[in-house]
Amino acid sequence: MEQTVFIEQVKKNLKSNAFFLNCKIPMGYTAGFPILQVRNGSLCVTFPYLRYKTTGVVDKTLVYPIRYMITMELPTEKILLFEDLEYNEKFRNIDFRKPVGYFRHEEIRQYNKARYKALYDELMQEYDKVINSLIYCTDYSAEDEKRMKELLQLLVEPSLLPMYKALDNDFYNKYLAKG
Amino acid sequence: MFDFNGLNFDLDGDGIPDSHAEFYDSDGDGFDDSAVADINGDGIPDAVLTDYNHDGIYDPAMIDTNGDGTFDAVCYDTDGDGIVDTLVSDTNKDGIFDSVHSEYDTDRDGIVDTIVDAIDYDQDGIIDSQTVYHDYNRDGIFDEVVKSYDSDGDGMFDTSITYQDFNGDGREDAIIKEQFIDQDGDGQVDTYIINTDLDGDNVFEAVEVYSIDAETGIIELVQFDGEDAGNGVYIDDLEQFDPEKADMSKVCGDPASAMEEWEFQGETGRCAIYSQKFVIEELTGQEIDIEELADLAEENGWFSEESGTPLLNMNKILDYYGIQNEMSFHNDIDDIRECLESGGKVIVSIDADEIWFGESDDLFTPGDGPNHAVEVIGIDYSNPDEPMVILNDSGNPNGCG
Repeated sequence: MEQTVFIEQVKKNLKSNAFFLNCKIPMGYTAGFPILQVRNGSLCVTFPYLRYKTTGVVDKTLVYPIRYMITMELPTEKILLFEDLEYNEKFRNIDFRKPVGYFRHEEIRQYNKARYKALYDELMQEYDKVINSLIYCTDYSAEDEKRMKELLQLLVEPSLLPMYKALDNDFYNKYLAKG
Repeated sequence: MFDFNGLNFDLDGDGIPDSHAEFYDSDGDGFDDSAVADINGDGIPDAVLTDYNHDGIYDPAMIDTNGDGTFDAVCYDTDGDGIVDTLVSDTNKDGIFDSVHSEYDTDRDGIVDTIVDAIDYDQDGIIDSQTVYHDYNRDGIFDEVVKSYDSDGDGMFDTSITYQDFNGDGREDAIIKEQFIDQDGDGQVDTYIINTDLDGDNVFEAVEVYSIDAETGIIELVQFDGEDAGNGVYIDDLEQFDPEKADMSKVCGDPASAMEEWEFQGETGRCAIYSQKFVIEELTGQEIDIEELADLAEENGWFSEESGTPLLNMNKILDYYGIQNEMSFHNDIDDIRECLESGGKVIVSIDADEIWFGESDDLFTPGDGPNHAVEVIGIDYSNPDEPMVILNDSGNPNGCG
C-alpha cells in the first residue's frame, strides 16, 4: 500500500511529540508556513514558529518575528534540529518582543476567515503533492509548482520574507522571491 | 519557425525552403557533425552549425544575418529539448554580442509561454537589463512581466519590477518593485527595499525596507512597538457569571469563592502564573505576591516576561508550593467536571482570541494553538444542552467569572 505524507498531520503529530513539548516553546507560538529542504539526499521540513497578537482591531493583529524553528526528516518525522533564533548570530539585531507587521496584509485583506482557510488548505495540499512526489515519485506538474508558488507568495506575511530568506535562501528563491 | 536540424528555412513563406547547406564530417567518424548554411538562399553562407556532442542535434549556430561575411548572431538550444530557443546577436554590428532573445515552452505543450529579452546597453559584455514575460494561462496575454536591471553598472541586477495582470485585460493590476542596494559601497548588498502598488495606479502604497549584511547574513527588520494597534479591544457583551443569580444546584465547582482570588494581569504575559496563583490561594488561603511568583518562575526558567510560559511549565509553581497536580492533554468538558466535582482545581490552555474578541469573519489569525492559560472555576448546567464554562481569566479585564 502506498504511503502518503500529509503536512497538516505531520504538524499535528509534532504537537504531542515529547521532544517537541520539551523544547518548551511558550504558549501562543504557532507554526508558520513550512520550509522544505533536501539535506544530504533526505527530504526535510522545517516549521518556523512565531506568534500573532490579536488586538481586537481588524487587520491590526500584530505579527512577531519567527522565533523558533524545528526541523524533521520526512516521512520518518524524526526531529533533527530545534533552534531558538534568539541565539542565532544572523538574528542578533532582531527584537523578538517587537512586531514586524500586521495581519491581514494588503494582498489578502479581501479574504475573510473562510476564504483564507480555503487558500491555506489548498497550499497545504500543494505541500503534500511536492512532498509525496519527492518521496514516493507521485505525479507532480509544473502547474502544481506554479500554484504553490502563487499561494506562498500570497499568504506568507511580507514582513516575514527576510526571515524566510535568512532561514533558507533556496526555498526563498524557489517559492517566495517575486520575479 | 526555425528547423536547424533539417535546415528547412522558408524565409519568404512561399512553402519552398530557401536554405541550403553543405555538411561535413569534421572528425572523420562517418557522421556529419557540422554544416555551413546559406539560410536566405542568396548564395552567401550565413550560418555555421555544429553538433559538438554528437547527439544528432546541431548545437549553437553562428549566423551572418546581413550577408556581409561576418557572423553577428548565434542561435542555440539552451534547454536541450531539440528546439532552438535563444538568439544572441550583435545589434549594432560592432563585433560585440549585445542582445539575447529567448523563447521557452516550459510545459512542453508546443506553445511558447515565457520570453526573455536581455540587453547589454553599454557594450561591455555584461547584460544590463532583462525582461521576462510569462503567459501562465496560455491565453496569449502575458500575465506577468518582470524587468530587472543593473542601475549602478556593477554587473549585478539590483532592481526588479514585477507587473502583474490578474484579469487578462492586458493592463497591469499590481506592480512590485524590489531593490537590492549596497548602501555603504563595500560591494555587498546590505539593504532590500520592496515597493508595492497593489491597484496598478503606478503609486506605491507601501514601502518596506530590510537590511541584510551579505557577509555575515545578519538581517535587520523594520519593527515597531505596536502601541497604536488598539491593544485590548475586547468584546463588551462577554457574559459573566453571577453567583447570586445562578441556580447553584446546577453548578459544579465553587466559582463564588474562586472569583474572590481573581486579578487582571494587564499587558503582561503572566497568564499561567496568575492561574497558578489563583489555585494556590484558593487551596491554601494564603495571599501570594504576583511579583514574587514571576521572579521565581523567571529565575527557574519556567517563564519569561517576553514570551510567557511553555505548556510543560504550567504546573511548576504548583510543584514548588507542594500542590499535587497532574498534567494531561486532549481532555473534554466531562474530564473537567469530574475534577471540579472531586474538589480539584483546573487550569487549561486555550485559544483566547475567540473568547476575548468574539467570532468574526474578518478578525482571525493563522494561529491554531493555545495562546493563553485560564482557571476553570465551574460549569453551569442551567442549560444542559449548552453548559457554560466559568473562568477566572486574568487576561481580560472582565475575566472574573
